[in-house]
Amino acid sequence: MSDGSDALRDSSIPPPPSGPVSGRPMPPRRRKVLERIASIGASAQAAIPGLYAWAITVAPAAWSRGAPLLAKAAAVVGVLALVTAPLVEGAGPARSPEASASPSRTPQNEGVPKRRTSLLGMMRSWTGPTWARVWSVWGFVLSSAIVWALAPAALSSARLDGVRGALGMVGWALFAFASAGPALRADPNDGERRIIASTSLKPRSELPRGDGVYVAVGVVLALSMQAVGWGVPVPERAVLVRLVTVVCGIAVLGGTTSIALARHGTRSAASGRLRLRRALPWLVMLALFAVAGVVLGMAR
Amino acid sequence: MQLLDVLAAVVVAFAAGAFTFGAMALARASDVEATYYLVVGIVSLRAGVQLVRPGASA
Repeated sequence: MSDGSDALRDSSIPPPPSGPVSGRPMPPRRRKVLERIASIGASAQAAIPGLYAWAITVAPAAWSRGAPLLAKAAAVVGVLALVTAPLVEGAGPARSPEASASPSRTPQNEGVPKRRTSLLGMMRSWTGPTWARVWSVWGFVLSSAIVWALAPAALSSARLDGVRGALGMVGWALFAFASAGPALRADPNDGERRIIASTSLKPRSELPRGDGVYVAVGVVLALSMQAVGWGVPVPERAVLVRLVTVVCGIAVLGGTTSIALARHGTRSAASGRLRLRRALPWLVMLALFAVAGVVLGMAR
Repeated sequence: MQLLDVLAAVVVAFAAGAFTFGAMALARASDVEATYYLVVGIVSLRAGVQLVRPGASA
C-alpha cells in the first residue's frame, strides 16, 4: 500500500502549488478556509465525503428491514474508520523510520530485490498518513462491502431511489478522489510561484453579446424535455422516452446555437429573400403537417 | 435582428414544444401521436435553421 502517492503526503516534501495559475490572487477568506481544512490532514478531508457516502448508501442498507445485527456493527466500524483516521494520522511518525535512519542507500541494500522485503518490514516503514489511509480506505470499504453483502435487498432498484443512488455515487467518487490525492494545502508563497506573472489572462477574442442568451434558452428547452416521462411503468418504454428526449434536447440545443452563430458568421450573409426561399419547402411542409393535425384532431 | 431571425427563434421554440408533446405522447404509449409530433418537431427545427443559414448559395 505504500506507493508513490504516500510520499506526497509527507510533510518534508513541499506541497504542489495550489490556487489559480492565472495570476489572480485567491480571496483571503477562501484561503483561510483552505488552510483550516489543510491543517486537519488528508484523511480528515477524505472523511467528509466518506461520511456523506456512508449516510446515503451504507446506513440505509444496514438499518433496513431484515438486516442482521452484524450489518449494523459493520456499518458502525466503517464510521469509526473514517472518524478515527485523522487521529491515526497524527499519532504515527511523519517520516518513514527507515528513511530517517538511513537516508542514503548503501551498495549492500541496493541490490536486494523488492520482493524479498518482508511485509512486516514494509509495514514498519509506513508513516502516520499511510496508516491513516490504509485504515480509512480499507476499513470503510470493507465494512461497507460487508453491509451490502449482508443486506443485498437494500440495494435493489425497487428500494433504492435513483437520485439517492446517484448522490451516493458522487459521494464515493469524492471519497476516492480525496483518499488518492495528497492533502489540500494552501501555499503561503502562492504569489511568488505564479507560472504567469501578469495580473490576468486575456482571451484571444471575446464572445459577442447575446450568444449566451441563445445557448441558455436552448439549455432550458432541452432540460425541460427531460422532465417528461419519469412515471412510465414499463422499463422498455421508459428507456425509449429517455432516449427520445435526450436526442430531441440535443437537436434543439444545436438549433439554438446555429441561430446564435449565424448572427456573426464569417461567411457572407444571405439576403432575406434567399433565406426565405431556402426555408420555404420546410415551412410549407410544416404548415401541411399542422393543417393535417388540426383536421385529424377535429375528425376524431 | 431581422424579422427572419425572430421567426427562426419562434420556429425553433415551436419545435421544442412539438418534441415535448411527442415525448409525452410516447410516455402515454400513443405511438401515432408521438410520431406526428416528433416529425413536426424535426420539420420545424430544420425550417428554423434554414431561415438563419448564412452563405449566398441556395
